[in-house]
Amino acid sequence: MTTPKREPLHTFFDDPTTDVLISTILSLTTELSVTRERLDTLERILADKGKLERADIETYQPGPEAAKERAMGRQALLTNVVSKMNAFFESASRSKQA
Amino acid sequence: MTQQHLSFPPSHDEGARQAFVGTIKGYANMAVHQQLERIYNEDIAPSFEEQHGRPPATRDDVTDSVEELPLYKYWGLLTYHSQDMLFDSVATTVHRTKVEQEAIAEALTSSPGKLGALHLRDGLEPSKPISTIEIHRQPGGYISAENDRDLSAARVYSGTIEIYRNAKAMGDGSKAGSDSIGLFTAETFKRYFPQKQPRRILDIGCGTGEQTLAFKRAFPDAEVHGLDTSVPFVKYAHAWAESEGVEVIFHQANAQETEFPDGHFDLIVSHILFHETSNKVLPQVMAEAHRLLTPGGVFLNLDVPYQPEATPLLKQVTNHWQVRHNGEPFWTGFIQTDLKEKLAEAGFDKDDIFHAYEPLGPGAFYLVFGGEK
Repeated sequence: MTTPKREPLHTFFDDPTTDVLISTILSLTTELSVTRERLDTLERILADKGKLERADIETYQPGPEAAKERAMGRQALLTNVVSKMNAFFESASRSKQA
Repeated sequence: MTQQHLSFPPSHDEGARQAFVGTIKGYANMAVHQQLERIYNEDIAPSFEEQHGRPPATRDDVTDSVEELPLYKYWGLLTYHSQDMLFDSVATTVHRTKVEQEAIAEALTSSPGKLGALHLRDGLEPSKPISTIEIHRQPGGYISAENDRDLSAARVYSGTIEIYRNAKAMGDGSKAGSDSIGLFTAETFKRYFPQKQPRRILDIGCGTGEQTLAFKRAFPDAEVHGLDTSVPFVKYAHAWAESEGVEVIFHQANAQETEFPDGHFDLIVSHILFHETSNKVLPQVMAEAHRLLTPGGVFLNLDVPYQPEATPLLKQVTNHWQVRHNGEPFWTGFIQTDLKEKLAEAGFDKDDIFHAYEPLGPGAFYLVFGGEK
């Protein structure tokens, strides 16, 4: 039976180093978000129960309010990290058209 | 032994990682795409009009100007890299829980009290482009399996699809395993044909089966079938139906060439199937559906709503990107296909063909098309 072939990595910028660096920043920010969310979980369990057991972390389910706060936290983290890149690429795009 | 259920159970950190990938995808699809729209509207379209004395009319008019924008390259990288991150983050959960979940699937599908059935066709070659392309760039595509028990391709697909849909504003906030798209199609059918009570229903290109279950739930007295070209997908679909306690019969089959007799179904449906076919296969699938329908039977399909007449030019450029960079060889071909004409060629009467954009929820639309035999 035939199976689908893996394509070589695509890059988008004239210098692929830019692709690799931005990809790395995104991956790193993801790991920071994971750590922050874990910290948030620990704080909420401790505030709620006054003690912490490892199993509580894995089974923790944020309520609607906590889930909303965590989603806003993810959004804010990403916005902070990408704001300079984002503004730079927008302004470089505007000047291309000028 | 208590009945066990299939699930997609990310650990705390896996779930957090998947959620952040959704945040990155949402940022690319929404904020960065809106920035591109502004640059297009304020700079590219006016400068084209100034040069040519008319507004841009087709995707080709503006593709070069959009593609040279640094912000477009940034958007492309975000979309491409976040797709890798999506598959990596979901595959981590799938591989960590592989042994336990495949054992549950085995127990469910070998139980003497199971409700549905699975029919495999040994030696059936899967349809192109599923057999040749990693659709959506899912590693290994939809058909790869290490052995007979391996359901990873299906579990990765099922784990990623709602994250993908929600970040593209094409979902309704559902989690993995949701049947909300199928329920939406079933409700649309009831609205279009309130007098019809289908007795036998077929879901073609049923994938991992979640949406097929919606039809047994919406029409409990009907006999419901699902077919797909991917063996791991139909195996998973069968296990998922048993896990959910819903009676469905699944088949390994290509939608353009099934083994069912003429006039076997009252209702044939599909969900986001046709844009994964080809110019060659699309009319064959429609003709086969027409053959399988009873007189008065209905063929009802849901697919992406990006037809050129309904889509701004910039969005047409970013959609076409999917063809080259996101394992979607027929994405542009599909939206350029005259579906009403193809349905008529397949045998549906012109007056009994429908083609409409239907809202799934706030901001999310799908194309619904088909015909009554």
